[in-house]
Amino acid sequence: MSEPRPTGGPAVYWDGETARRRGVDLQLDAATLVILEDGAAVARWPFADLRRRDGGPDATRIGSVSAPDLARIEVADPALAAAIVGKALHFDAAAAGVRRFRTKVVVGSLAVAVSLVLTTLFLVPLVAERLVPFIPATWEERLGGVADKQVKALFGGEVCEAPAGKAALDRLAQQLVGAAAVDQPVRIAVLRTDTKNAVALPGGRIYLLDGLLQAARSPDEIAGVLAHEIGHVTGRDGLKSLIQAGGTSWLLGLLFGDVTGSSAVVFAARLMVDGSHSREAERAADRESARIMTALGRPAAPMAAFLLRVTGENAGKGVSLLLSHPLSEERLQSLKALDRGTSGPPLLDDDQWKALRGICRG
Amino acid sequence: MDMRTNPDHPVLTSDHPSAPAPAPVGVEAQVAFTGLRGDFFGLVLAGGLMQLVTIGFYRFWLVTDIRRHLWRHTRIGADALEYTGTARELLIGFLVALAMLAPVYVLYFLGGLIAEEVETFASVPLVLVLYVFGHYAAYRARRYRMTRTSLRGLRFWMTGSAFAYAGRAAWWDLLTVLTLGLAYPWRAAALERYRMRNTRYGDLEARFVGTGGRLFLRGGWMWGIGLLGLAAIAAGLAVAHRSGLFEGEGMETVIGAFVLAGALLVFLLIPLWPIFRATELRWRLEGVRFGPVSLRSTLRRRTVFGCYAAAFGVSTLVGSAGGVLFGTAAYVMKDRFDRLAEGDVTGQLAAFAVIAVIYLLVLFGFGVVKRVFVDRGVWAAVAASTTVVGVEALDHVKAAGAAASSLGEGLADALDVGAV
Repeated sequence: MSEPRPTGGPAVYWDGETARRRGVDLQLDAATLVILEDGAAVARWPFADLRRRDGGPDATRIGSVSAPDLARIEVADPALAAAIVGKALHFDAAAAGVRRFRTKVVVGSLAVAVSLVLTTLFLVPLVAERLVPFIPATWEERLGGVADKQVKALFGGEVCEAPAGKAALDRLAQQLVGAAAVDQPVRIAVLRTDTKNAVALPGGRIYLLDGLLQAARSPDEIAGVLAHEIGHVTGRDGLKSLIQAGGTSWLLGLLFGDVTGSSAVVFAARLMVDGSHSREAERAADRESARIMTALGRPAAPMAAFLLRVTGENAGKGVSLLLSHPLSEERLQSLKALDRGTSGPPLLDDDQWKALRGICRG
Repeated sequence: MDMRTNPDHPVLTSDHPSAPAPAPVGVEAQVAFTGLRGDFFGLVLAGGLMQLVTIGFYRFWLVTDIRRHLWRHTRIGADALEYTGTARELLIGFLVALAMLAPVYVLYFLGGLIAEEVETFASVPLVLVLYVFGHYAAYRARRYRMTRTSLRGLRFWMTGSAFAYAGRAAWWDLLTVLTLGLAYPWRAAALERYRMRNTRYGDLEARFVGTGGRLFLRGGWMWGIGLLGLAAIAAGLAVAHRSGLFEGEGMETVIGAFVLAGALLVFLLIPLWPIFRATELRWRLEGVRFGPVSLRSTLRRRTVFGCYAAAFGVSTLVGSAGGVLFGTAAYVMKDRFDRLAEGDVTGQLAAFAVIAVIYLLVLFGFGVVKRVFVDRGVWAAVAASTTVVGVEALDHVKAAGAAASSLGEGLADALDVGAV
């Protein structure tokens, strides 16, 4: 250093008690910074307690951990400021602490991300799987009631009850349920709507939509679909997917919810995760369907062929990661492998089949 | 208890022995912003990248850095503001808010199920509960920011009840919706009055003297234009529908004309937003009083409009860059994107990752642009056009108030109602 360090000089002082701007002189003693107003010391700040505080670009703002919280000294002269900073050992202690903490945050948040992703992919399905047996059937029944209302609201809500058709449906249901290992009551009904689908709700309610019924060419096709839905009831899949969807949406929302506007990524990721869960459930339900049909001595494959006919060729038309059902070709192949052919009588005779198809026409 | 804060005692009746007789005209102090755009850009760019890397957790540090930069470069006369909040506080506030909201989320879920049992889709109104809670969080977040703002060695702080505020805000929102926005100026005035009359600088009490009528006089025409435009489209649709223009031949032409008219209308209405924002900002500033201290604003609409126009222009560039990036990726990884259509899962994962990364980068770009041109730009414009009148009164203000908890910010963050 060629220039001698200043041992004092002018500054602005705010005492933290009033908002008055006080012109003061600073005096740098051995261990303390003395604040002098009109020649009289108004405060003494030990150098060890001095900390850098945010000030404007053309001045150094100083606080002290032993002075009132917001009391400040502002030094405009860079040489004087440098002299003070040179004596104050912990002047930038806070900044260094902040930098260390930042590194921890980066590492920590990456760990959190990995943990959340693994939890979503593996732990949530496991929790749903293990939690379901502990949920009483009465709760599931109530949940089913809620879903029931929503499905009815979505599809117009009219249950078809032509007497002859109803009798045929009950006969078909009785055979299927008899062959299945279901521990809760299964209620099957047909809803009047052109939509081609069938749904199983929590609590054992199964709805066959008339659009799908009209597209079917044989009782085996419809029986296979209903057996598949019964498979969902057996696996309590509605309840499982409810728990999984709730869990994944909460976790992924936690993970990404905050990078501004990234909800679309969250949505896509969730769709993929939920989709993969439900594809697994669909395969299980397909296996159950094949088991039931085989037990009744009926072929398992017509159901898959039927679905393929209804949905058209899936491959090449959609992004399979986003589909909640496995590709129909794939399902057809796996069901063909499980097909044991025909060894029993038809589940419905021609008259009953005709009556069933007319259940919404009566 | 701080005995110096005595609400019954009129503030600043000046029992200061050496105080001169109050001057008829207040001393004026020009507000100025001394920050450089380059510094701010660097800060936001680095912080934004860190936020991407840390899946969002860095936002507490970024927000704190942004505030520190804006505050320290804002000076009233010769005195710069100081932001004393820390990122650690925000993080803790957020974690506590999460802990609080987790049971609320579960209760909300169960409540929704019970409501659905009674009436299908009855759970939708429960969203409103969380929405009112958002107002609560916003008020507490403002309180946090206020108590972390200091000037001349004293802090700003707030009294008042966040619940009372949330109730008022929800009530005024309802009126605003019911009147198609007509009530908005009075809503803004009522809420600003509540916020400001509960704001203090040391022992100096603030209030708000702006009126809804005044804001309506200044900005009502914009509301009128917007409403007229919507009404014209609706009337046109109704007439076209009645005279059967939507059936038979030429239907596409008619629909096309309406889409075009709608797009044109939106294009004309969008520039009204910055103009309205400038109008409202100036009205808010001019209504602020801290005891005898008032603000004068010469904020020009075209200045604020310029900030938004610049943001729009640069955002367009960012969007185009994203498009080029995506095109390049699709060309380079041609086989993967082709297999996307064939339904091959591994190809999809790679393509999905590329799409997600480009999407996040473009979003990141938009975020930087918004912060630099809109947040910083408007802040600097407001500072440069504001004068504080009567600053001499500040000499007698005494310290009062304590730092409030950061829970409000955490809640606001978790509920996505945060501000700068």
